[in-house]
Amino acid sequence: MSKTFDRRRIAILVVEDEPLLLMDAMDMIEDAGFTVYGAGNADEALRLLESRNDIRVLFTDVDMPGSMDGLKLAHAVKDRWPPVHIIVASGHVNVARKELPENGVFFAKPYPPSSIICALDGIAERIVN
Amino acid sequence: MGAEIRAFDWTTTPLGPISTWPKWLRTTVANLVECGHPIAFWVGPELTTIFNDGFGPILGKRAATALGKPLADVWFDVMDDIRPMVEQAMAGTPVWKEDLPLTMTRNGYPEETWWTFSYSPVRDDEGRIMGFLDTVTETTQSVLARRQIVETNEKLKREVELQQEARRQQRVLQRELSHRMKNTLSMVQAVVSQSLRNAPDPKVAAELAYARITALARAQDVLTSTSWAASDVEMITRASIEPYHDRDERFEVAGPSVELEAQRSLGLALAIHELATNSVKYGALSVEMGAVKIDWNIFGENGFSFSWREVGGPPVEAPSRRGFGSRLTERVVPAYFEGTAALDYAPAGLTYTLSGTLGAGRPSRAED
Repeated sequence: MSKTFDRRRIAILVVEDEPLLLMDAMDMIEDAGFTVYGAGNADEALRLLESRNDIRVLFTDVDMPGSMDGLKLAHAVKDRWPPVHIIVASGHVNVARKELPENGVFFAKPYPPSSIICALDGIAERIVN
Repeated sequence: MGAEIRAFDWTTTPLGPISTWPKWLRTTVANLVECGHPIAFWVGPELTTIFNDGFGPILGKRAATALGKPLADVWFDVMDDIRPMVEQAMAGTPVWKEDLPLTMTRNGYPEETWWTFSYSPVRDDEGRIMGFLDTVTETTQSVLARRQIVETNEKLKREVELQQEARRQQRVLQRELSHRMKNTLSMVQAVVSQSLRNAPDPKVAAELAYARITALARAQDVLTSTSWAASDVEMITRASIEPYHDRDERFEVAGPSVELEAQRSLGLALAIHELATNSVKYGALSVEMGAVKIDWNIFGENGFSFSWREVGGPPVEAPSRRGFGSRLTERVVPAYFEGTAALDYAPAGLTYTLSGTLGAGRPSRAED
């Protein structure tokens, strides 16, 4: 696939409460050339979104401790930062799909890394064009 | 009862001998005697008792002595209950009651009974109210049967509810297990991809991945004994060092009993695995006399510390390049405890210290 954009200019925010999975997801996205930020819960994620203006994609887990799970976070981000694209991943396949915000993309966990990168490229294409 | 009534000495009652009874009284008594339905007639100034064959069983043991007795003597045990209705009938207003409960001692012991009955005023030829007819059906059996049905229904309903609750709990447990399974697979995937990312060649990557997956599996064995919910730090530690425990003096393990939530248990097991494999290559576990002191403690409200100290190994040098092992032990595992950790490559022996919390930041995930 010939890219018409620079992946480094697209920043992805990964939200995952499982530290090992967070590191691995960040490595995967970073290896693909995107800029990546990580957060261990929804509050951290919202603080990052407030302080950075380059985040174009939220890639979040669903089950997370704290006041907000990944679905609530996805809806909150959709409301406050409408241009931010949403990708949600969960082991609870049926629960998550029907509760996604509009245009949200769902991946069942565990997911093949290439499918995430492919989805990110698709989003990047749309952002650039 | 016709014969008994005719034979009875009515001179002992306010009604006087039968021969003196007015026509309305005779007619009423004759109708009552010929009626198959239980009827009693209370008549005259003392409401003297006259009743038919059908009414006998209602009186129970009292049937033998009730004829000619005043109402208040026959029904002495329920008089307080029926008095208002008797007064109503005697005032000219008929009474109709369905399933009225009365506690009776008609058979010598208290019985709960129910009655459907009417009290109909009876007048003399001048229209004066002289008494009342009590036409009655005892409904005790049907009330008890209905009550039994209601109780049986309630019992069945409770049983169904218990079964539904048990099924619901089973579904929750299945969802929880499915979620933990997916999580474990995700961790295995991360371990594999991290092993591939950091290894010089596929063969080494495979060996690293196998060893890490085996370490996760040993930790899972500990968790399985508690339905994958939590483990004890000592159990997780001992399970993780077990492959390297070649002699008694190799490890010194000390710390209080501390329950560790499932994901923290897996994280700690991975950290110990990385420390041990590194030590087998470069540290105290690489030489005959080397040893490792592992201890942990709790402090403050939810504070938790853990340390791994190597002694008796070869002189330590800090590695030129930090791989998955040091990233995992220094950055990833402390995040499971919302804390920090450091590897100290002191020449006398490597020390790893972790300090964090066991707070409720990572609750069980049974909900949804």
